[in-house]
Amino acid sequence: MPLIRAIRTPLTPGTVITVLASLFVVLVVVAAIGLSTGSVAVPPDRLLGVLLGHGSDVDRTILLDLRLPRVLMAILVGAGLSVAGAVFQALLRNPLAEPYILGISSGGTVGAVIAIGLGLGALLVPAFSFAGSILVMAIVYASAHRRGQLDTYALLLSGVMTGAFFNALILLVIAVFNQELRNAFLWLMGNLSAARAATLAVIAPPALLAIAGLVSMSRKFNLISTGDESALQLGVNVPAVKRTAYLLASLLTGVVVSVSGVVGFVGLIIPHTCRILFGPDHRLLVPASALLGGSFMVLADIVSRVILAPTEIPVGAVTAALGAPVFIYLLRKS
Amino acid sequence: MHALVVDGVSFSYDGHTPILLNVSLTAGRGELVGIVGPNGSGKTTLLRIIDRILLPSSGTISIGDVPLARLSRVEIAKRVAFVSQNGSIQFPFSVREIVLMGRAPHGRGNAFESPADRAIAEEMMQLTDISHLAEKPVTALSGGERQRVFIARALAQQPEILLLDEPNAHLDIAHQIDTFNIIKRLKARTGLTVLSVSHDLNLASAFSDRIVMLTCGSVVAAGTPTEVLTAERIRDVFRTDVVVDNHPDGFSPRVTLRPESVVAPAGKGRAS
Repeated sequence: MPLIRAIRTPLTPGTVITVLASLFVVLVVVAAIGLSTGSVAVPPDRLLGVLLGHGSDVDRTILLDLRLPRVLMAILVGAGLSVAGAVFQALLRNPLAEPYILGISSGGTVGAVIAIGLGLGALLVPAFSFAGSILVMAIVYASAHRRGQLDTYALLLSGVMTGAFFNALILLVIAVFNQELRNAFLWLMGNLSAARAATLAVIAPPALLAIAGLVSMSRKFNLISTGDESALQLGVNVPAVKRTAYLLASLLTGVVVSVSGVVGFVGLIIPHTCRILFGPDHRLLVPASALLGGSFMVLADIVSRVILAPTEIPVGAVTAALGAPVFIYLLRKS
Repeated sequence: MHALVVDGVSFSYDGHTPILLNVSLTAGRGELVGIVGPNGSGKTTLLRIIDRILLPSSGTISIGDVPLARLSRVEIAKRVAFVSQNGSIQFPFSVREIVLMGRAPHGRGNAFESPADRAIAEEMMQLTDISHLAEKPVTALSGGERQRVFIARALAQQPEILLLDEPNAHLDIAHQIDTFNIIKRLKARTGLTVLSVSHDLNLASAFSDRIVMLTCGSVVAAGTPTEVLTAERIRDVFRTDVVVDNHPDGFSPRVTLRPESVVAPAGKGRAS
């Protein structure tokens, strides 16, 4: 494969700061578009007015109570799934691994719908979701292990199968608790309409901490992505690093899908794009995936709201339409 | 004081079948010890135990006078580098990025390599003749080029002990000799101690200060190439008839294979 990445090696702090600052600007612009777009268009001058503390009550309600939490949630979901994708790919040494393909998003969503169905408090929803994600990660990992080696195809197959099983569980749980839950379709294909400031306040701290933790481990991901034994030879305590990283990536997936439901392929498309643009060094790849993933998810959410307006389609349908071809392309190459 | 002491090391994967049995050897500072033996004799397992990838079931290993068991993973990586028979790399890291990874044990806690780290990586790329490949993705290299990249990465670790597992497996003859000449210069300059597993008895003979021959997990002979590489011993250990004479260019023995000379196991007479 020719190296078409935009930056040369070795990676320096200056390069990382420049790239991340540029991606942050993109994120801010995309977020502004997300805030302006909807059934009631809010032009930039009125948007700025509201953000500066002026503006009409109607604009304030639309922007601050409805759209801002939704845009921030989209950023968090996109960033979370992309970072989790980049990390699973490094740990499993497989560019096809991501929370949706591995079934981890479905596991998390089952946990969330059970907690919501049982009427448990807002804090227990992401906790149940995390438990569901960890459970699926453990099942998939154990079933793809053959004599100390992870088999790529066994991993993908068991991920897809476990995901299908847990999707069926989502339907079952929703049927049992019918009244308390949004419709099954939105949980199975992802949707951000449940985003409120209160939910965001519960989800954001663990998600941001998990992202920060994973970014801080990214130099070790470089070594692990070249092989466990190779990383050991270079001084990495591989079992400890992997355990922590699996926990944090599952936590991240769990907490974001507890609001969004199953959103597929984001963790595949974004790290893959970042790898093409910026190279495979995780010190840039992981934080860049967070920022680009945030922008991507805001855009996907805009498309899901406007493409058939006033009907809203699930945001997972948009990401799947873009992600499935990328998956097939990568599968053919691997 | 020896740079490396392996004392009575035994190892088994399943607790019953010994892969290594009471293996002892020493290597001095600046010494290149060749390890030879037939397939399955435990050569690679021995290197993996010396790098503490595997733990011995009994016996001890010391680096300098420090027992290996007392060193942390990072402290081992600062002292010991291992060029193994590499698996595939999935992600398109550039050659420079891979070589820089050799500096990881020295910059623990730092997110980025220092200018000194970068200078060392560039020097090792030059030494191993891969500077022109620096920006190329390692996934696009030939087996031989990749082998040199991993040798450069190991040298970038600036270890006291270098473990080579069939370093010449993918190299053409020019790069085989080149690689060993580089290692010879480095060991003279820095006191690097090298253990090199090889199937090529002539290369082992030409470059090793001493040779240790293993069979079925035990040491059968250890000494200078002339002491170890005798036709009789090679016949016993490898079940192959060879001619051993003096290399015309020097003092090392030269092993010449004889086609159709595989010897049957004891008691069954000679094959073909």
